[in-house]
Amino acid sequence: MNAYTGKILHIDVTNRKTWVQKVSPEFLKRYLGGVGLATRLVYDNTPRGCDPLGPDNALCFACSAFAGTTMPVGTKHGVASKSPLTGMIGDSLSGSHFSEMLRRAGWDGIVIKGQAPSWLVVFIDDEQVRFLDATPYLGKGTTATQEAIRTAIGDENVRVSAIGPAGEHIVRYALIDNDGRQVGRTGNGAVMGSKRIKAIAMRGSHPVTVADPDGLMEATLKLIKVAQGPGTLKYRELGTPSNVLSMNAIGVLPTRNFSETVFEHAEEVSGERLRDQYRVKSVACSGCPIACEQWGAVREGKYKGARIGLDYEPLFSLGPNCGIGSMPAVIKLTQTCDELGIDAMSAGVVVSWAMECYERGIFTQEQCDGLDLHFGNDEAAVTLLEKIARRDGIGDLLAEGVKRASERTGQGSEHFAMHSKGLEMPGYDVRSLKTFAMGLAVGTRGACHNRALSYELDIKGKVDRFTVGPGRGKMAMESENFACVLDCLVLCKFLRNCFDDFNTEVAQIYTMTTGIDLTPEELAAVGERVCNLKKAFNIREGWTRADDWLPGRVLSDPIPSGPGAGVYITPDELNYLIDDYYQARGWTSEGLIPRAKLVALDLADIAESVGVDLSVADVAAGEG
Amino acid sequence: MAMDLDVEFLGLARELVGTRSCTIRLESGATFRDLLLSLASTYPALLGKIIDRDSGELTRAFMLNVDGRRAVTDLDVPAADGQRVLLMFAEAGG
Repeated sequence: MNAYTGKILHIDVTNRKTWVQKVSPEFLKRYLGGVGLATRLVYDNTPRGCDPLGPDNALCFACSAFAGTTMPVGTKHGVASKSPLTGMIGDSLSGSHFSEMLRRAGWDGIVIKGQAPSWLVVFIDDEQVRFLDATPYLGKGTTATQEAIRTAIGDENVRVSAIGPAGEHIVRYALIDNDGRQVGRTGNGAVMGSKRIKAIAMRGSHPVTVADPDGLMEATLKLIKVAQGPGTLKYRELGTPSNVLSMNAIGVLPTRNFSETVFEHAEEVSGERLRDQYRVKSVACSGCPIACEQWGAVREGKYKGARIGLDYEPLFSLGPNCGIGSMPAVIKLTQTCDELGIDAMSAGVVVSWAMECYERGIFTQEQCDGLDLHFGNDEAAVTLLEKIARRDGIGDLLAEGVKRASERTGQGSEHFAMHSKGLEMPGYDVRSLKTFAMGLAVGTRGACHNRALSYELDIKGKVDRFTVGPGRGKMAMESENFACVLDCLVLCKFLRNCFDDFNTEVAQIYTMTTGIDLTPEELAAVGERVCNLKKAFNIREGWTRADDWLPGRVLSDPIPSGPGAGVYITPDELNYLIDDYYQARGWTSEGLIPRAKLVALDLADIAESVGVDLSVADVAAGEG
Repeated sequence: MAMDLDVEFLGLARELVGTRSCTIRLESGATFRDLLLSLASTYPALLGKIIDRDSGELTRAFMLNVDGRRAVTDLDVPAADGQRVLLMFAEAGG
């Protein structure tokens, strides 16, 4: 077997047992790697109805099909489990060296179950698995943990995925950090913490072979050239922080907990300002010629010394969305999240919700442990993040995520709790991005821009973003399927517009890498298969159509000013779009998957347990 | 009869032209293609990275938006007096 090893490492940390699962090329071809493979491993190893924070939840890692090869922008890995935030599939991706090291250690994926009696570092040293005492690392931040473990092992090339204090305290949106990149969304860091695993250290010494080295090298060189062309210009010049001014100008920049869409201090927290006054360097993931991550440093003032790699999503959530218009403050807040091990996207939306509760009088200053939580108070926000990470005082409530926190708080705060399925919303006010609004509502991991991708349809003018109409469901489905293929391969989405014929070119590269024949049609089918597999997992865990919904604010509060003034998406409009999407997917009107559909997608083994007895033809004819 | 368009530069466009915005005067009935020609003439630094030297159209990474509301998908559509035109990156992902 080339590239792939055909082996999955299973670890039970309760009794420190391990075993090896062999998987066939045919199995790997169906899921490719990354999110696809990790999701399948979760489906197979997590029992129905299990507690996401209990020992039965399987925390699964899977590397890119291209890990360890010359293929650029392919050194990412997928991580999945049953999310403690949503109760549904929690799949996430991270970049850099961990994926390559996982493959070099001899594994296509890892499945971790159980709950250790005491805190551990799981050290995977090629085929050997060692369980190290994690006591010296408890309470340490993510970077310090990784460095300390490398020092203790005595090998600076060991790659480490670690949780911070937030994961130790089971914050439901805790992340896993490796090399300064994060498995950020859906709370996989909390799952790791629930198993009392502080870190996974990885050392691999095996070579990675490919089927056609010359062909792959030729494709690699071509792709490197393309990756440094116009399709990635934005990412190389300014990185994703350039979105701040663009989204502000078109009136979709979430501001003060998604109540407004234009931020008066957008310039101060823009990618342009970051480049001109704060940028220290651009950073690339392992093997990536794009180098999108823009590192900023604060050189003076109260946050002097703070430095971090910034992307648009932390910028929006911890800046405009909290009413904070200071780049030094946003750098400090993002660094605080990354080091404490909290998903900055969710954290910003949780903090902004708390700020709105405070301004509305739902929270008193006393209830907030003495903090003045007015919008714009960056010092209070820093303190609040530290409280969340340690579940201290009001941080205990906020560590639950905005859905649970608002349900416990009541007093109408659910109306402006900005999430779908419990996952806090990304940096787009979807009241005037109606196709994307549906994309967030139907997303299997909750409100996620990276899984939906349909913001492109609205923003690039492929549809009228202010209205709804027929065909949006099919377009959103195609965007979602395409995003899923990228997440399974794994290829970075920033390369998505760099191919003339994506399926043909990438299928050839896959075959050159693995030696497994893959047609363009088969590659495209993986996206649809894995989207349905994720949906099937959710159905198995109790999903209903009511879960595909958006917050009250999106569905009833008109945008107060700016280019989208007066606009919102009505419940009827959202239902119309969801119906259109389900029909495009070939699902029933309740969003269930016909058995025949699952069989057609080569998911026959799960069709009996989650599929409904209805033919695909029935659904396509509108009888579903 | 002339018309004035307010052009805002975002991202790389702003860096290349060295200003946040400008006003471009065009003949009535002029299109967005004409606007790009005028911009290329006023700001030659845009040629190459943002405006294609041969076609006069935007390169793949960029787009125009009118009044923050709609993307320009057809450069041959006439512009209108007083419009606010954004020259911005086309990719939106974060």
